[in-house]
Amino acid sequence: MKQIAVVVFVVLLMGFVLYLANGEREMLPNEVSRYYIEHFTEDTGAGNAVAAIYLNYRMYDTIFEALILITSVIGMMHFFTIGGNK
Amino acid sequence: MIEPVSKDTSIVAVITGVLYPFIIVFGLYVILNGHNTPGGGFQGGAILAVLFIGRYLVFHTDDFSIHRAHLVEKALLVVLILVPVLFIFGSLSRRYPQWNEAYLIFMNLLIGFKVALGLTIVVFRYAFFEDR
Repeated sequence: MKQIAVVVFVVLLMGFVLYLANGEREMLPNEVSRYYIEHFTEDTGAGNAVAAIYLNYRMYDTIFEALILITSVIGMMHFFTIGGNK
Repeated sequence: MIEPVSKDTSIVAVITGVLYPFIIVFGLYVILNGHNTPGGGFQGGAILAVLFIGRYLVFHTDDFSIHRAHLVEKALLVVLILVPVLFIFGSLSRRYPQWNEAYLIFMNLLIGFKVALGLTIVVFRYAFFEDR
């Protein structure tokens, strides 16, 4: 009974969040992407717009992506302790 | 002298040995040219991770220290956070634009080695501890 209540609650919450997010369309202004495509070489010295964005314009994204990887590794080392020939 | 796991894997052992230098060169190529061509640290690191994983598939050795690899990975993460904080957020990249390319190559190398170590640790952790 409790599990059914939890399932109903989660489904209702998901529907509510989806209903809220449905009406919203977040549009970035077009100037940002045009600026990146036109100016990335003189701004960052990269020949590749993707490298320019993920190593210069959006550095926070790369830092936290590296953090995600090390967090998953730490989680694996913490939880997977069965067996072990080492 | 480490023997292969069984005689059935001798073909895999020979092919892995032949492919080894190509894997190293290709991974380093993808990392070092990541700022000019498609690729970069994450992709090249995934290629470099095949080095230890492929070796484990052929020889089931346990001479790989997960603890030491994890320490190196954490040290790489500290450098990976410090360098952009100084260079990008300290606006050195605007003051010294000639260092931009060296910065990109260095960051791609750091990310590549970190991703390679991370994937290797994940696979070896499964192999050493959950091998039922």
